[in-house]
Amino acid sequence: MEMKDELIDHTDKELVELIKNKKKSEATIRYLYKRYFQYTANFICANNGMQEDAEDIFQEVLVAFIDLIRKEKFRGEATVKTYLYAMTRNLWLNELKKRGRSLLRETVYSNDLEMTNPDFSYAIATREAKEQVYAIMDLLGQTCKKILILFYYDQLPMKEIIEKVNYENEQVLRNKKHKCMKQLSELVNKDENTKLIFKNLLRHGN
Amino acid sequence: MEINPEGENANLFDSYLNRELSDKELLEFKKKLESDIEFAYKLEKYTTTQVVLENYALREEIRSTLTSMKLEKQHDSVDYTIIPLRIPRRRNWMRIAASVALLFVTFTAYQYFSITNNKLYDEEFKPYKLATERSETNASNSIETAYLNNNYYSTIKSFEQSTNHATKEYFLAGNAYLEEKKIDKAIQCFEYILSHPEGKQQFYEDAEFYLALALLEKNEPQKALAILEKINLDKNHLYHEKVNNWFLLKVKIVQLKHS
Repeated sequence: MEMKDELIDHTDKELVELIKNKKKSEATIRYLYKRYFQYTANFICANNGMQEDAEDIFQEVLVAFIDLIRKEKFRGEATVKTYLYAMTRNLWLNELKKRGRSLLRETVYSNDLEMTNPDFSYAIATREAKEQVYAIMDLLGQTCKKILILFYYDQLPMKEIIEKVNYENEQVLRNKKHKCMKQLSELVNKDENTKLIFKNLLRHGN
Repeated sequence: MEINPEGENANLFDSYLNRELSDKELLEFKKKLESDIEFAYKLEKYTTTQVVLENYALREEIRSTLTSMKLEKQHDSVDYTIIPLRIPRRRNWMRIAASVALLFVTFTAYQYFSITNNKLYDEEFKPYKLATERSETNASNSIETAYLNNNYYSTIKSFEQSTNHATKEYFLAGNAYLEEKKIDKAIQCFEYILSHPEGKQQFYEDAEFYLALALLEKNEPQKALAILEKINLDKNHLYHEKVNNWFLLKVKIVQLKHS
């Protein structure tokens, strides 16, 4: 029996198309991890980071990278590998700065992987907003979270959502969705500081 | 019906953000944005909220996929776990660790030797439950009637005596054949649904799952695994939650034993 995981190779163009297809998200994330994680982790581990740091940073890089592609912001001027590496490096240097490491000076720079005018501010902005996003979403109930994600992220029609959340009919579900969205909106826009962080997300995301 | 004052704006904002407004509607929308500060502010709030939601959902999806991969990796490496036999220090801690590892190995070995295709099939197969609520209480024909009465023999008889079946009838007959242990016939019914594009509207995903079970019962785990892996990867699939990683692992064990 063949238990070994066979990794089909995709071109960058194919990969970008796969990322845009939300229905294939899990398989694509698995592919990105298998193909590129070790490469980026080597950089972090060679520069004062631990395996856990590498995993954490890679997760952030994927969020930013996938989001950039889905918002048609990825210009394809560099290969996916170069782009992910550069994002990792940028995020990790920023993290080291925050940790106040003098070791930052020892960080390895590789000029051959420099890119022209990359915009990594989005990745950094999302990293800073991460905790805020989780804190706010945790205040919503499980059902609300599920309905909103199925509708706005997975973009499923109401007919399919109703099968997953056990509501009597579409109108009741629609009302629930509006209430949930209103609740989330109130949480997001509650105070100016929180709003500012999310506006930053919005500015980079659109 | 409950009246929701927020609903109207939300629907309009959704249409605007999804670029679904007609040219005329878009023009009116933009005019309103320019003239009505309150409306513009509401749209800004709504958009910010959506960005937060999308960001959270994407993070969760990535986090959960990477966590599953990590767990699978740990599980795959269990064969290489070395149980220490001579331990000079931290004896108690190591003993506990060794016991846990031994338990795990025993459990894995038990799973390996005890799982069979038939056992797995028996655990997972439950005949499809036809909805009988409200207006659906009346079955439309003898096949449905027999099926609703759990009379699988009659279901098959009615199915075989009639022609020009609807997708639903193929699906119910497939289930009845499974109940009556006529696996090849069941497979034919499910494969029929999957080979007809119109079937995608109804019972398509159900047929995929039940076909996988039928193949498992027929001791063709490799074919079953291909379908189950597809279901497992598709988080929108009706049976995605049912076909979890643990279930897949058991099928893989069956396949390993079979090969």
